[in-house]
Amino acid sequence: MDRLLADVRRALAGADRPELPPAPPPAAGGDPALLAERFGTELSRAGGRFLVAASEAEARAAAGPGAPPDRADLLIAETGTVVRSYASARESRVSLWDERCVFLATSEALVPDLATALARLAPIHRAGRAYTVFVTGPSRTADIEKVLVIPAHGPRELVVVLVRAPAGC
Amino acid sequence: MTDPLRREFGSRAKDPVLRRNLLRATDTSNAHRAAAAAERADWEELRSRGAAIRDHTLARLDDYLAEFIRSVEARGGRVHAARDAPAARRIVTGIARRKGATRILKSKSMATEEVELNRAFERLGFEPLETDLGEYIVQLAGEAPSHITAPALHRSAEEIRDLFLARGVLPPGDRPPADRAGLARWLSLAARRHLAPRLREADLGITGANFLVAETGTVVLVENEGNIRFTTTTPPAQVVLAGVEKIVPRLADLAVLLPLLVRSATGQRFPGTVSLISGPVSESLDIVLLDNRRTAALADPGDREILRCIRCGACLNVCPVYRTAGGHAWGSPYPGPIGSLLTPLLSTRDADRALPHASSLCGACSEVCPVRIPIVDHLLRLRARAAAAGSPASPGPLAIRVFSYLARDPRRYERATWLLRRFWGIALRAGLMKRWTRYRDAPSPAARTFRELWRDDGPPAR
Ligand code: SF4
Repeated sequence: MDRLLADVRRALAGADRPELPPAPPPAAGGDPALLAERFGTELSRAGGRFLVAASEAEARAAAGPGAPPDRADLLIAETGTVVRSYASARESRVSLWDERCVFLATSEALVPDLATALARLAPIHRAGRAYTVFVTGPSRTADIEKVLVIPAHGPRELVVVLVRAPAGC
Repeated sequence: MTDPLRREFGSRAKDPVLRRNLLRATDTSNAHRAAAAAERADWEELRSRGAAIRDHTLARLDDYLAEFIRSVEARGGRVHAARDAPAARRIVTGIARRKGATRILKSKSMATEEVELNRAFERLGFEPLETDLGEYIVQLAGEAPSHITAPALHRSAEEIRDLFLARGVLPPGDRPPADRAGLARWLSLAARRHLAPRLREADLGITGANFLVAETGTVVLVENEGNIRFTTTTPPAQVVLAGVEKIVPRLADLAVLLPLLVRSATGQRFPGTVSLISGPVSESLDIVLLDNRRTAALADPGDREILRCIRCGACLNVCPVYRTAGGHAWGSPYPGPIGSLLTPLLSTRDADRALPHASSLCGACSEVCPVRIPIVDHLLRLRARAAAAGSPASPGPLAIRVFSYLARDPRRYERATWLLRRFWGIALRAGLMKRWTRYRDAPSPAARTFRELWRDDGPPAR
C-alpha cells in the first residue's frame, strides 16, 4: 500500500494541480405536490407504479398482498428514484428477492434532484459504515439485441405508495 | 496498420452476421445517447464539470487515494494494492481461499477482465459465475466481452438461443418465439430462471467499481439487472477490484458523474440501481486497488488525461472501425477508440503499440465523450510515440523522406512525375496496389503536369 502511494506521489511530483470545481448547488425545495407529480411521471416512465394513499392502512391495502412493504428514505422527483439506506445486507433483501417490491413513503421524503439526495445522504456515509441503494423502476436488461426486458434478476414490479400525512398532524 | 493488425480487423470486417449485429446494436445505443444528451439543456456544461472533476482528482490522486484508504479502513474494510495483473490475481484468489469460498458470484468488471481473473480461478478448479446477462452469455460461449458496457453486443438473439439450447439454459425441446423482440425476452427470462437459485446462495462476491469516493470510502456500483445487488449482499464476503483512477473526491461529485455516465452509456435518465457501499455490508469487504501501469500513465500529463475515462462506451458505439470490426479485433478488454489509447498504456505487448492506428481519425469519439477526452489528439500522440520508439506501424516517415528527396530538385521531381505517369497504369493493372484499390479509388495522374500546362498554355486567364 505504501509503495502504491509512493509511486503515485512520485508520478505526480511537479504536476499542475487544477482546483476542484464547486459542486452544483442542490435545487431549491419546491412544492411537495409538484414534486410528487413529477416523481410519479418519472417512475411510470421507468416502468414502476405510483399510488397515493390517505393512511398507512390504506397504503398497505393498495400495495396488495405479498411481502411486507419497505420504507423509502427519499424519493427523487427528477428521476423517479427511491433511495433507501439499509443497516445490513440481509435487511436489503426485502426490496430485491421477491417478484414485487413495494415502498411506502411520506411527502417529507420527496427531494427535487440527485444533488439534494446526495447532500442528505452525505452525513450518514461520512459518519461511518453505511449502505444505500437507489432504485429506479423494476429490474431490467437490454443485453440481448438491445431489446428492453423486464424483469432481469431483481423484482418484476415496483410500487411506490405515497402516504399523505393525516390532516391536523 | 501493421499486418497482424490488418488481419485482425480485416477478417472480422468481412463477417456479414457480425456486421449486422454490430450496426443494429450500436445504432440503437447512439440514438438513445443522443436523445438523452439533447434532453439536458446543461449537457455541455455538465461535460465540462465532469472533465474538471476528473482532472482535479487525477492530479491529486496521491492525497485522494490516501483519504480513500483511511475512510475504508475506518469503516472496517480492508484495502490492498495490486502492482500488476499477477499480483491482483494472487490477492483475490488468496482471499477466496482463506474464506474457503467455492460458490463465487461475479458482476461485470473491466478490471477483472484486464487481469484475467476468471482464468486464475479456473486453474484453482472452479469458476466464478458471471451474473450480468451479457457477461453470462460470453462466459457460456467461452468468449471475451466485446464491449465495455454491453459484453454480448456482437451476438444475435438467434445465436444466443442456440448457445442456451446447447448449454441447457433452455430445456431441450423448448420452442422460443421466432420474432426478434419475443426471442430476446424469452432468452432473458430463461437466464433469470436459470440463475435465480445461484444468486441466492454464495460464499463470495466479486465486483468492480464505477467510482470510489474518497471522503466516505464508498464503492459506487451502477447497474440495471439487480445482479450487482445480489453479488454484493448474498455472500458474506465481498471483494472489489478497481483501477486506482476510479477515485472521486466527494459524494456530491456523483451528481455530475452519474448522469454523464448513464446518459452516455444507455441513454437512461437514471440507472435501474445504484449501490453506495461504505464499509462491509455483510461480514467482510476487501478492496483491491489495481495499478498495472496506471501510475506510470499519471506521470505524463497527456496520458493522465486518458485516465479521465469513466467507461461509458459511447466512443465505441460511434466509431466506424468498431462498428465494422467489433471489439474482439482489439484483442484487449478495452476496445474501440478508448481501447486504442488505454491498451498501449496498460499493456506490455509490443503489438499493442500499433492500436492507435485502428482509427479513421473521424473525430466522432471526441465529440461524444462525456468527460471531453480529446481522443483523436491522443491517438495521434500515441502514434507518434510508437513511431519514435521504432514501431513498424507506419510507412509514413519513409514516404516523406523519399518525397523530400525528390522535391528538393526540380529536374529530379520532373523525372519522377514522368515515371509515375508512365508506370501508374501498369502498376494498377499488375495489381501492385491491390491493398489500396480494393476499398478505394486510385485516380490516375493528369495527362499533363502543372508545369507543362504553364509552359505550353501560359498563365490561366483571369
Ligand atoms: S473515452 Fe469517453 S466516451 Fe469513451 S468510454 Fe471513456 S468516457 Fe466514455
